[in-house]
Amino acid sequence: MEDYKYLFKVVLIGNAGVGKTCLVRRFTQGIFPPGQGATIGVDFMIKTVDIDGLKIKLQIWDTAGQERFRSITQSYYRSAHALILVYDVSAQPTFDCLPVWLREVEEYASPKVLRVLVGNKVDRDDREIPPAVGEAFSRMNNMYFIETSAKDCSNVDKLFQEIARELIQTMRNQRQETSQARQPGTIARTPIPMTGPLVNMRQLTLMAPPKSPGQNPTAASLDPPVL
Amino acid sequence: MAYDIPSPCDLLVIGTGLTESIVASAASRIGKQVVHVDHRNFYGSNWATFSFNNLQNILGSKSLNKDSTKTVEETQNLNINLNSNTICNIVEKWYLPDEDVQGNIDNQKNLEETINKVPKETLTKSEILRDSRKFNFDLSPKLLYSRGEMVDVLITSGICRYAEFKNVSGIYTVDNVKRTLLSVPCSRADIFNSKDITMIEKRLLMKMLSMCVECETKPEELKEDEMGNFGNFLNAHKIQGKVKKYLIDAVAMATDSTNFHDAVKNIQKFVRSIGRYGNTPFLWTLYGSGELPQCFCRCSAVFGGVYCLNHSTQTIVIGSDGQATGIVSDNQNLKAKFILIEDCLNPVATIKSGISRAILVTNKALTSDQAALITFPSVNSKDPVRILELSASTMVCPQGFYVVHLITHQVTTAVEDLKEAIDTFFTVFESNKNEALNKPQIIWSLHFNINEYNSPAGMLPSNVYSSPGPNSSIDFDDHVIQARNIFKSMFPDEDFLPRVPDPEDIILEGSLEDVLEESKENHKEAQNIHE
Repeated sequence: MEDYKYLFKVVLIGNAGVGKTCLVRRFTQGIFPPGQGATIGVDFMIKTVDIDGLKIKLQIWDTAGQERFRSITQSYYRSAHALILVYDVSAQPTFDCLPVWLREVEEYASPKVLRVLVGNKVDRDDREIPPAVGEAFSRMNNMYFIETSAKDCSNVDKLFQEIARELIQTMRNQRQETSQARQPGTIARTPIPMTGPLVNMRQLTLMAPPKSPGQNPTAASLDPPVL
Repeated sequence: MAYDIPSPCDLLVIGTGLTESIVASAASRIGKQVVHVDHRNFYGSNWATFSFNNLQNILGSKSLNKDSTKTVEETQNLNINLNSNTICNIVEKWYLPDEDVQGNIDNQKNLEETINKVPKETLTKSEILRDSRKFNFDLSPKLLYSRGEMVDVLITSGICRYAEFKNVSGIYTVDNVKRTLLSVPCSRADIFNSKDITMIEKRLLMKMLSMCVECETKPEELKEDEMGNFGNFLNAHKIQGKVKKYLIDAVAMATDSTNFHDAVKNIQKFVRSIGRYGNTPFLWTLYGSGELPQCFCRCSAVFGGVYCLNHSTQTIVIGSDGQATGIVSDNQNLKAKFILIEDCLNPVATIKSGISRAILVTNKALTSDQAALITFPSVNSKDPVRILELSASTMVCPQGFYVVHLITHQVTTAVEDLKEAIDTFFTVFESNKNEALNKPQIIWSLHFNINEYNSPAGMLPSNVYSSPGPNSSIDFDDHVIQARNIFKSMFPDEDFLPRVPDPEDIILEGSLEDVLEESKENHKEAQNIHE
């Protein structure tokens, strides 16, 4: 198992065609364009980034095309640590849809999720949304803001690096708070901390027993089944 | 931004309930083009989970729907039954003052605080609705046996990565006379540590459990009992009192009259499931059971399934050979090789029975468990009532509240069918009364019935399948089996939900080509240097 300190789940949303998949592919594989059909069977992409010497694994989830008919499953939003809302700077309608997306986020995502607004395709010369407009919207909605181009790669690495950096910071702050406030013996209920390889500390994640020896430490100490 | 729905497709699924979603994911998984539509604007149809506000919206639109009449066209095509009131007899009650009153109370509070009195503890409707999204109410709450069909398919398919679970930590039945909860010991250690039953009873219980489990390998030993029902079998072995209650109400999830084989199958599953993830056999899906259909839908989408909620479907089009050719959906012809329709929309389905359901929000727990399953045993040969008490740690309500689900087979209406069970354990919330009664108080309640349907064989074209909606059983396993059967009948030689490759193991075409090309170029360069 690869060595890393933290694992974060990052999900992308936004209208179809704004370049969500391109951003993910550009970042995780350095390719553009990703080629159609390649998304079949890919649930999320993984990339490990280095933040001040810490290895951070980002698990980046794409919409699997469910945004085309506005049919994203709510479970997609659950347990996300960061959420990237993407629009296309050269297509006004993708910007106009942002409030609709935010309503969905309010309803289903954790209130503590890190929210980032991304204006993509800045390489294009037919821009319709000036940077200031995007920034104003992000400020109004308490989001981070960045403009990117998956095509010429500008700001793509920065976007994910900053997310990783921010998530670590949030986690450190929370850890301090909880370690002060927590009673001995109780389990922390913060959504962020996921230390170590995919062991979800908060609740059971179903794993096939042979694939996860010792993943469920409590199970081992339990009495054997009745018979 | 018009996106076309692929047509023709291999499988067109109507309704996003659990069975439909499982079949959709299984078909997508083997490379079939799936189109999955639902006229509702949410996932899960009668299996859905709602926040407080969404539930209120749904209930509102339900009553609006009631008057709409369907125009039946005189064609050979089958009209999809969008107006079926699958959920009916809805009764919603608040036992709290609403916001107007709150204003007064707030003023009062301020006043009281200024004169240094302890403010009265009050709770208002608007306060609860402010936390709307923290509530997750299931239409059809169900548990997973840790070694049941659902957990199996979630693990083998890899779909378990989309959901999280918690162990049900306590299983109870109810003392007939005292009307108090009796904790059911599950593991061997629980049984021997139990203070509720005598040593002899413990031995008897263990003996019965071994017998039922072993009859899988030694079926000949039980021959004489096979004819009878489970109650007779227990009587024949002189099992009485608490041990009998444990076995019937909890371990076998049965009644006296349950067929012996079914009861034994349940006992085997119960025993097998203990210890895998915890001390009881059951798991609860965090955020509600409505997450599970969505997990399968996500899997289907990842493998190319096309999803359209809010997309009404009008008719199933029948070709000249009597086979369905597709459907008319939002005035668009969608062609498909196979069609799967959930039975409440199925034009030929008839109502066969129903489920009586109640959802309560209470202010106090009956048990100290994060999630508890309580069986209120059958009275007057009615079916037992299964009660699920869920705390905030199961992600269905804010801290300090509890969501209680009651489920039983419908006899009259949900209100009547569940009255006795509710009155036994709960009282209504009255803010000015002292909590002397000590029972958990109901802050809000919702009663409703869900219809169960019968889809008569041979009435649909052979390439149209009807899938069952929720039933009153406590687990998902019947539906997993039925979904697998539907899938196998459509695609007989294909694997049912084989493991999804680990995203970290996938090598993508693009990247691989790049790597190869690079290495080719490097190779050329190396050769050039050589030359």
